[in-house]
Amino acid sequence: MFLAKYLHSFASIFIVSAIYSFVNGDVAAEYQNYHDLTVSLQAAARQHPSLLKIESLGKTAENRDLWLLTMGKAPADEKPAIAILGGVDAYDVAASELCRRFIDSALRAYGVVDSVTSILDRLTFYILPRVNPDASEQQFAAIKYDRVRNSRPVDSDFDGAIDEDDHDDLNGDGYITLMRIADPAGEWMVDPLDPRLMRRAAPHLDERGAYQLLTEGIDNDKDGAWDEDPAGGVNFNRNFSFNYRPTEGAGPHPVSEMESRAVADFLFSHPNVALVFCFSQQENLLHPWDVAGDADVQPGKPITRVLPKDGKFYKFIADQFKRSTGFDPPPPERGYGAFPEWAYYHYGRWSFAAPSWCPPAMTAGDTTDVKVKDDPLARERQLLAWTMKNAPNRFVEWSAFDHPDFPTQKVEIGGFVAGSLNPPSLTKEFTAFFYQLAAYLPKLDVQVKVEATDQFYRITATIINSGYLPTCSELGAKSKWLRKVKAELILSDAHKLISGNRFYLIDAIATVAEKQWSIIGKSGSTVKVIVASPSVGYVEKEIRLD
Amino acid sequence: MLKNWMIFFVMAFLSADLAQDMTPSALKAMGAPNDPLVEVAWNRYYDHAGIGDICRRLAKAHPDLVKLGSIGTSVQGRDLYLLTVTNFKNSAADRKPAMYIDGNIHSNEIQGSEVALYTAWYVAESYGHVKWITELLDAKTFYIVPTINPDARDHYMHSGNTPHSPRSGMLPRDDDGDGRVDEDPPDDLDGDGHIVRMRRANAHGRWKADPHDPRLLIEADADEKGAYDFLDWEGLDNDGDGLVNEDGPGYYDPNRNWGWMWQPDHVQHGSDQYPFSIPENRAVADFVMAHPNICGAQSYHNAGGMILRGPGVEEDQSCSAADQLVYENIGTVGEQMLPGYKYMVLWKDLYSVYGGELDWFYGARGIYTFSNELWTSFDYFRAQGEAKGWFGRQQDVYRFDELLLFGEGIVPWHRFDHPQFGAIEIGGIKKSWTRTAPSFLLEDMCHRNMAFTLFHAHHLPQVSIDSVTTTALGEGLSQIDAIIVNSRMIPTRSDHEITDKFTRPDWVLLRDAEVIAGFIVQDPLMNHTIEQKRRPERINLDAIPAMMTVQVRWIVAGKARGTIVFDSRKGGVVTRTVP
Repeated sequence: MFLAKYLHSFASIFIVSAIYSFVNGDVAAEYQNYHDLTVSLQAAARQHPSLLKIESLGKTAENRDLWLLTMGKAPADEKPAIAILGGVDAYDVAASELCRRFIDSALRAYGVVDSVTSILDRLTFYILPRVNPDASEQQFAAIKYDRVRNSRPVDSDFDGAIDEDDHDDLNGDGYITLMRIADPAGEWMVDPLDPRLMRRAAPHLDERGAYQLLTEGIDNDKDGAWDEDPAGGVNFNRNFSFNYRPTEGAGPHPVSEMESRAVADFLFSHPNVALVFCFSQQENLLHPWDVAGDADVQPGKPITRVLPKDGKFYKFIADQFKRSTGFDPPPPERGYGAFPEWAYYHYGRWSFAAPSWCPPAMTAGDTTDVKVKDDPLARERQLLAWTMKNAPNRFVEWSAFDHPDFPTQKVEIGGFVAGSLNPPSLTKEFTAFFYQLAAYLPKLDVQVKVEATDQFYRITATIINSGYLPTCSELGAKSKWLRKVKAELILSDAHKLISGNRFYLIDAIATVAEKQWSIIGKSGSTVKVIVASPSVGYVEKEIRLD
Repeated sequence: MLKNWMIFFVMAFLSADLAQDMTPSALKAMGAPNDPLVEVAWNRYYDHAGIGDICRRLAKAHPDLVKLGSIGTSVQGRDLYLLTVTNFKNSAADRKPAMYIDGNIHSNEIQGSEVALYTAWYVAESYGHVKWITELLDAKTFYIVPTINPDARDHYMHSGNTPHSPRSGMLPRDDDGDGRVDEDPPDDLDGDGHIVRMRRANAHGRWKADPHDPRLLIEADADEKGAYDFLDWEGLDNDGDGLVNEDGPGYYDPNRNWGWMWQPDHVQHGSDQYPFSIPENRAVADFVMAHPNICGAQSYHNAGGMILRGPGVEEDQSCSAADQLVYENIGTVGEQMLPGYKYMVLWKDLYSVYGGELDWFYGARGIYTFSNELWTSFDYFRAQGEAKGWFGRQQDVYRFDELLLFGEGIVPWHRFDHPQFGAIEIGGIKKSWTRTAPSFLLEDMCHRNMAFTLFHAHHLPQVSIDSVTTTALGEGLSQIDAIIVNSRMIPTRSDHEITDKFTRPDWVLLRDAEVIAGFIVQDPLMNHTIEQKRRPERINLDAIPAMMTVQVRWIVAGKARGTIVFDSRKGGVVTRTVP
């Protein structure tokens, strides 16, 4: 209902996005590579200097800038903010495009649509459209694949050589897809429902594997493994400190990379950030994270589930998102060192994540019209159905290849091409969702009551939060890195504080909190109550003592 | 006139004679050299400039043994001095098995720097004089970073501090959540250079003067009337928030900030923003990652007399039984070398630490690492008995001060008018007493702890190719067998590395031969072998285990010839020609 209101009021703006209508072609034709993205973002900032600022958070290994867009009226760093990240999964260049379109539509709506004007006056959006640009650029390279690793040279297989067994485009189609190798000892089988899909055989169901399944390539270093030490690097979305595992692509330690460190440093140095949204398959807007019971939270022990009081907020917002987008994917795999979880568990902010696009659920008439319970191929089946209907050239049909490493075995190459999860997405739904998130943020007000007996005054501040979200999450209240609401009484030399602290730091305020002071002062003098937190807002009230 | 001249002559003769007696004829005590090239007084503590001076003098006096570098700069721009100590003339320092040593990660725990410096000095000055040490520097490399927290070391020494402050480094942080950083540190109210305690006379207070030593404030008995309130450390409420000293320099704990089993501040206090958010720590981590030859490490803390090893938390399962045995074999010898010290497992025997330095060294790099808590209460009166806390009983601290320091360690209580607390008294233990050794025990502490670390360094892997045998097989083929031995207690790769596969294996290469096949010989008598089909000329080994051998075998075309190269990141490089 809430969303419907926004959709309605922004409908006019979305005509603009119609020009980005989907063309059935390759990714490079529909999304912007680093250069084009840079040019268009810089142009937008030039055209709207009072609303949009572009700056670099640093240079990557391949000398690309990690762009930050600051959107909103000055002073941007002194207003509560929402951070939006694209390209957390580096292949997701659609996320960058959604970030760009959000900026584009917001800038056009400012001064035209009152609700947008008010949001950009009151709040700041920090938008990082492509946080792992070196890896994302693989979507635009001569040979494309869904690369997630940055360009740090890493000896992935610990053989003493670096990046020596990369993928190879054997069939010369410009894509790295898959190879299936006929092998009675292989663990993989052709899906009985759709021969284009491969899945692991289930021996307990009397299935037998007939293939090895590898990425397209040769054993360049002759070590008996294929593509085991590809170019790069570290996956941004595995390099954060929550549930970090020192596994392949995770980096030598959490936040080891230029990209992750620049993002973390930026966020830690911006106490005004209230909420973080990122585009990621490691989502919680379609499958909210598990919520801890009270007994699960022990002092001095890692917190690995959403704290009890925060659970309902995550669930409500997820419900809204799911309804508006219609996304209904299977649950994601467990993340390790993932950014979205870090933003909540370690950075202490509300953190939401969603894929930029999900293939629609299967319907009657789809290529493989089936519903299988606990289908291990649910994701692929949905994607394939959509691809066949809308972009059939994004699936390479399996075809035989004479592979030098398997002279006696039948080898076929095929599968989804790079960027197959990158179709044009729901620009208006996401844009509306970002405004909706803005509307969910806490809103501060304060009412001050004075009771006087002669020159003795009792001052009571009632702090009201009229937003949907509390002033911070239960986890945020524990975090050293989230500034609590500070309620402060400003006195002059003519006043004497009799009781109460000069200021109070207040944990999460859901709706209302009350603080009290007693002072002695002259009738006719004024005192001030300031209630503020960088991520919540600033209110001051001056009161005359009568 | 003549008389005066005579007196002058005699005087001159005497003084010349005296001067001759003074310098060269002292009997050398066992231990430190009598006439070192670099004179250092080991009975005092050096600030960053003093450390730099000693480092420069060592590097200048021993150019073939000591090189001075820097692994980075601190928050305030001080160099993190690195001394690389080895025999630079025989082979590359970065390919020898290496011991990394640092001190002073906690800025108030200063004496680790002196132990580290003493180590560099002692081994450099002893090279060529003491056979055991000469062999050590021929075979091993020492990377010594005397202080990895130089900013706060200087703050500790040159500003008012307690024995326990700053502990952190100097990166400003908001500790009380008021949006301001480091705005309410302790204050040296009376300007005497010491931050000590504050007390206030109060007929209803629960504290009293110790009847044995009125300088010591102790709790009144349960049924007894006290005389004082025990207030905070010396300081003011600088920011008017009703709290004293609640936001001093820092605060983070540099030893909770490392990238292994790291947890955020709300779980592990002091861990800071993310692993290696603290530049000094990051410089160490980057240096260690760039030096894969490091296979042993030591960090020096204070206090309490402990030889600590990881893991820091119970849930860290990375230390296998085999690796635990390596630790135990070294740690228990340490207990013998360091009276009053106990070999302990951090989480089990002390407390839980997420993100500690020693855990990163071992967990992320497979490096056997100890942290010594220097200075033990055993040294007060050297009476064996149960441990009495990290700093010993307060009564012993005061008694030692009275009998052996003649009262120098303690500021007597004296009156001060405090703006918030009113008429109070200030007094108590000075910062350089209770955690740090007094002058006459410092050299003893340096030497014993160095000796423990040299024992550790001695047992870093020492690999040789013990024997090479060749056999003609007929059909134009020959067999080469090589036995590779590690004659030390530390394997060339830790069991953790082998199990969790995060470093490359050791290699044994046969160069300049046409290799047909290569094998690891598991049991030469029963002829149990494992063939390595790919790249047989470069056989991959998990490790050369502690005090054990590994046998490899090649079948080559033609006569048995070539060069065998053992090439290990941690075990060094050894070459031998066939046959």
